[in-house]
Amino acid sequence: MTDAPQPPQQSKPAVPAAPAAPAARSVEEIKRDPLVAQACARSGDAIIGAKEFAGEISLTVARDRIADVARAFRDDGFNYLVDLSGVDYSKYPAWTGERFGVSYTLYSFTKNNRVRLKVTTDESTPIPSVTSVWKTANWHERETFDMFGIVFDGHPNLERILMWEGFNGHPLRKDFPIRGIDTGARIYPEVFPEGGGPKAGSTGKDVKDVNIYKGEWKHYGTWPVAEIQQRAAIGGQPPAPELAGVVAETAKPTEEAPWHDPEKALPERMELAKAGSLKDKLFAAMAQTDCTACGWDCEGYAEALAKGETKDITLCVPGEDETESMLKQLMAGAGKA
Amino acid sequence: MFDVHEMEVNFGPQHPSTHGVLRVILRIDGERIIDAKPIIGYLHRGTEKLFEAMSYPMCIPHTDRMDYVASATNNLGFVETVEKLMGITKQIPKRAQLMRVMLSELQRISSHLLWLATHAIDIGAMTPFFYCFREREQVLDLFEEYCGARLTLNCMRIGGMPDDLPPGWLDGVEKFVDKFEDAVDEYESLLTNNRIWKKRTVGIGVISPEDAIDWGITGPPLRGSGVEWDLRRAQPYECYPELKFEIPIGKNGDTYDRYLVRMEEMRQSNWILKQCIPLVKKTPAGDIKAKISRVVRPPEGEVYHSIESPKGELGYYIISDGKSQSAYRCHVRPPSFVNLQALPAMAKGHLVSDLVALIGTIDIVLGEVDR
Repeated sequence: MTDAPQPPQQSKPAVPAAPAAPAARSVEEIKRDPLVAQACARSGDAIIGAKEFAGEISLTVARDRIADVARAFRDDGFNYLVDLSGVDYSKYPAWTGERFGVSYTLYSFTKNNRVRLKVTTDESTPIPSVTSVWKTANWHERETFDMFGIVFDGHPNLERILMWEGFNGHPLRKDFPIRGIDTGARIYPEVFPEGGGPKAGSTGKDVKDVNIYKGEWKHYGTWPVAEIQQRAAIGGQPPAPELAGVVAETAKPTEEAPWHDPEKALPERMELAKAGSLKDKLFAAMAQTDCTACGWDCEGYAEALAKGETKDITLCVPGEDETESMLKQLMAGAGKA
Repeated sequence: MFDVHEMEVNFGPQHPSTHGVLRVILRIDGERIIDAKPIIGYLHRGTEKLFEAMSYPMCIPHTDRMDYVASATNNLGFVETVEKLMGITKQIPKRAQLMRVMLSELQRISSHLLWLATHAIDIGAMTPFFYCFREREQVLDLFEEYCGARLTLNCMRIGGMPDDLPPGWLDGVEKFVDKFEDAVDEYESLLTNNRIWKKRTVGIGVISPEDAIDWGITGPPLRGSGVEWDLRRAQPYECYPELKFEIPIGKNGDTYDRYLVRMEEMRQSNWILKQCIPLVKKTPAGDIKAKISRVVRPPEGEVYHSIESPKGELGYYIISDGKSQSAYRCHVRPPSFVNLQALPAMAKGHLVSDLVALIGTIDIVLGEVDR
């Protein structure tokens, strides 16, 4: 415990120096501080560490004993639980302890001072609840559970408080994306079964079955339900409209498909594919960008149309009306419309 | 299982008297409340998560949006916590301290005025609304003159204040404080001895001092229960030790006492403002910022600091890893969130229409409850 209060970092020499910090006290010295001495003595070896910063005392408590220690402090005058909150230390520089911390800030009216108790835990180990010590801990613990997924053992009603029931993830964990996630579960229950949706930290790409969307995560409100269902049924890739018109690296003419060149105009491409099969003609009618906005590359879409896997000829966004009318013509010519 | 007479009723979230989007699931027997269960979170914006992604000065406008009817005190709590973390609390110039106190006391008045207006209208008294908004408008005009905004002030900076007072501002405050005492008398003449008002508030939502402390209640509801505790006096910050004011307390811990406490608090705030004006005039103009580095990078450590906001103890708990310019974790201890927790205990056995009075008397702002 050598973390003494440091003066603020100063970049300019003209800044007056902060008052010199007093020498750091040892753990035993802090535990003998008149503010906490009595409660510490009663808690015995449950207090496993102590720190001082900016005049505030933080005591680290053994996880299993927190409720007893809390009761000892309450009986010693700390009858007001000011605050209870969690911390996710997983991104803390050079952190070696357990992942989560929970801080209890207590206040004593008689001593007019605060003290902080801290415990640590991992993802799965519950912490004894202090709701039996202070009633106010109820909502604080629910919030900490909601935000971090820390479980409090013995809590009368440990359910989510700020997020809704069924929300998948714990927002204040460091691996939860800051822009948030969209579970979609409540928006299209027929497509996304209840309890589905991505896990904390996911970009949505790992969710199988319910969602096979490969693009950047975005709001489901912009997807037509029927289309999602149709895509899911035929096993294709759902459309990625934001990619429309992006020319992929594969969009280059080859020996088999000399028309596969986004630079060429439609009549020229059709001319090149004149002798080919229906698939080749359909392929030549595409915008040739391989943008996958329709769910396939250009060849894949042509093949799907030729094989009758899909009958929708409106999916080629960059090809616009030109492609659509050509596809319509070709499909009608092949008797598939 | 329900008794034959019991039923479950949704109160809110779109009910005008819930002051935002609070939903209360009521179990009632006729008109009598058997159990109440507040459902919150409709206004959750992940402010604490956002704080972790932005530098300390960037957080200040976001604090405005928590208790959006008392943004100056939100700013004050945040900047003081960061100052405590950096160890520069003592370096704040006197003028900046006084300006902070003045803005937060004006904010307390405007917040209490909004509370009184809506509380009265919830209970059925229409008239005080117009009187309260008349004065609140003047306070908001003063805010606008100082920082350009009326509600989301963003009016404090780490280490001081953004701007000096505009010319004539103090005269405007002086004009306001001279008249405000009479205005409070006027509100009181409408309500304090009003028989209907008393019928609706006396003995409603009684909470004992022990229970209040156990529930973590702070601010006027705690003082209404007779606990003489105010952070401005118990753990003074800024220049409050030099200012004279009294802490009003109630006797019975009911809605009426909480009303009286808030009315008296407005007078006390007015008195503090009166004392501040000559003190500000004595300080050199322009001395509003401590000479600190522009880059806010506090040392490694964690602090909890709280101030007396109009609604109770507003605390910030900040953990800094000492390496980055943003908080590793910033937790807000909003008074409304904690005070609201006692609503079921207060509401049990009362009538549904009393619940409206109780939500008003706790003085919640859902932006702060849900953050």
